Amino acid sequence: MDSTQLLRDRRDEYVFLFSDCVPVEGAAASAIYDLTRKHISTFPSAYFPFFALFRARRLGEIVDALSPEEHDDFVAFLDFLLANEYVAVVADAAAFPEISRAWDAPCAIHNAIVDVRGQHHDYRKIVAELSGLGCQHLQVRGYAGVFGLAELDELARLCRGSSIQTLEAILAHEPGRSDDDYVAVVGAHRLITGLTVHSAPQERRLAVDYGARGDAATLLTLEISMTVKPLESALDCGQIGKRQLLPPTTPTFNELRQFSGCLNRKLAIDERGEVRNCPAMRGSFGDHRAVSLAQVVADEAFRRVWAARNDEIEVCRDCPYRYACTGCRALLADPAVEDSKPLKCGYDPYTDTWADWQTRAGAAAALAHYQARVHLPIVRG
Amino acid sequence: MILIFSNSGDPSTLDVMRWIDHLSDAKVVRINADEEYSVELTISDDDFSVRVDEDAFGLEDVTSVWLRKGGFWFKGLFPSVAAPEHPALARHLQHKLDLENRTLRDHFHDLLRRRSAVLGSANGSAPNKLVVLGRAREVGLRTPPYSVSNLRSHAQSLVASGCGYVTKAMSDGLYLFDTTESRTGYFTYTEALEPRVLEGVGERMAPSLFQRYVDKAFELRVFFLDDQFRAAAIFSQSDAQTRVDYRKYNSERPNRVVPFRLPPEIEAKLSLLARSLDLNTGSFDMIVDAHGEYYLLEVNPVGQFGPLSERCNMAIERMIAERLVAREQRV
Ligand code: SF4
Repeated sequence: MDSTQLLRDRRDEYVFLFSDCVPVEGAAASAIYDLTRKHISTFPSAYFPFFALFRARRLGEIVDALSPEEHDDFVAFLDFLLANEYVAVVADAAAFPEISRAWDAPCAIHNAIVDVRGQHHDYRKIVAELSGLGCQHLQVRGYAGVFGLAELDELARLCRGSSIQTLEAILAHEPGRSDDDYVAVVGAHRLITGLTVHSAPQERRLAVDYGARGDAATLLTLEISMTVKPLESALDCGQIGKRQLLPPTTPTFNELRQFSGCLNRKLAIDERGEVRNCPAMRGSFGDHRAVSLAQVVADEAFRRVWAARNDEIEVCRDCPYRYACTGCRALLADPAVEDSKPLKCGYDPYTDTWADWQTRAGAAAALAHYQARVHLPIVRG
Repeated sequence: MILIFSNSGDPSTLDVMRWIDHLSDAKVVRINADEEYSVELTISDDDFSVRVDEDAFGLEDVTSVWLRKGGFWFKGLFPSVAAPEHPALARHLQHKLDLENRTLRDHFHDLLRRRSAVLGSANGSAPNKLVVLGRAREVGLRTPPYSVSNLRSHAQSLVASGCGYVTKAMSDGLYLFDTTESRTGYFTYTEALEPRVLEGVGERMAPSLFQRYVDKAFELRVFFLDDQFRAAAIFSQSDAQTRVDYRKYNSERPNRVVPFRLPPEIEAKLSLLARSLDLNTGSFDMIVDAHGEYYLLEVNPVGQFGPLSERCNMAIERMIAERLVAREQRV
């Protein structure tokens, strides 16, 4: 059905925005989050007030109140909504309530990061305590060779029978290792859902097929990615671009309306073994050997940053992507301001443009600030 | 202790167990119908003691039970009969042993039902579709007119009537994968009854179920747990691929699924229907036509509620977990 037909035949009905399509207002551009089709489309914010009208007035009443110039814009907007199947025209939308905005998950900690550089941690204690907290996803990042393939194999073994469902690893390339070694370890653990090998001699991808043949192989294959780029420190994290935005779903959308997409129910062990909200953030909650992770998580001070939602952050609060963006609370555009926007984001909601964050005034100085402050020297090579 | 009977691959079981673990200290024993265990079982008078691998428990330990999937879960208790020389005898003995097994199962379920809170239907399969339609009409719910016939002429007269009919399995549809890891699957869906469907069919065919096609505004999937209802509307009409059966997913443009507020009188009738079918959980499939009339299609006691629960944020997994731990906390 197109808009011309609707404007002629269905004037007494209401434009109903399906409840899985949620409008999010931004400064220059606003967005519709399609939670079923996991897609965001944007449109000029000038159209945003129509959504309130759709709920309050019949189609005919809305159209009659428009000036001739506005009329054409309105038809174009209605066509956009119809083409994406965001709206239906109904006699009464009262039977379709909003999707509940509540969010909760059956775990005290959802995901954890463990950083390893020069020294090992007590992995057995970490896994056991994370499991007690219901942690589902674990990422381990080895900056240097100390945490290599043998250690990954051992860690995956420790995770068996725990609450951890996926293990992702970033390891430094070990010269003595063959492709087969990497494939063998990943292939032996279904728990390992991703492996990136940094500082490798060349860019390459290795396929792991778990011994499956034919159709099944294409379904199961996992790729190990080898990159020449080095992973130098926790400051390498926090890139925000269009590609980093989460495809919107009901749970992620609801979570990001209330919590920080990156920090909520996260726990990190930094390279010195200190418990933190994020390896790149200030504020240690003690050495993981000396404290109980459950006690740290019960501490109000530890949970405080979980609530740093994008709605309360400068600039981000005007961004149409704010409920799809995990953000970053470790590296800020202005390190002196607590609610400053993330350093490594190049989006400007006031002009609706993406640029390279490094070209922004003050970006280099902010990065230098963090590099100087890092809680230990960056060991290279 | 909470006892869960399921299948190893059922994702909803895992989600509910995570909630149980998060909400309580309850011990959970999960037994999968498709796995082999070492089972020790003694039933005496009104009690039993069971050991499944490492987990030993008696009837008094079990506060709640969730019969999620599967029929009987203690496989291999009876030996299978091997007498290649005497096939008729072997078949007969096997049949006898199956009856023994079933009697044991029924008694086991009955004990559980009398002493603990059992969620789910004991036989593990869907109630007879035709019986459901009859009961639905008894409680005042509309159902699309249907007939069952083995005569091609009957089917042809339906086609000729121009009203539009669909045909589907009377029992559970076929839903089968070659192997769990292969993508090859066999499904039966609800199909439109068109002249080409009857091509090459003899005058006497297998008895088939025909149901009047109702031109729907949208479909409803209504999950229920005791007297709590969670309804979702599925808008599939605009897409020819899913017009007749919404399980034929269109992965490019999945159907819209949104929360729906059931009219109280429909909810009350569904409550009565669930009670008359002796079901305390499951989901109803309904349709709403262009005039706002509600039609009941069928009930599924063990359906997959996970995707609907997530998309409409219905927290069904948590509801089930709360129901299962409720008795635990009072102990
Ligand atoms: S402005 Fe803020 S919310 Fe928007 S993309 Fe950048 S970091 Fe994310």
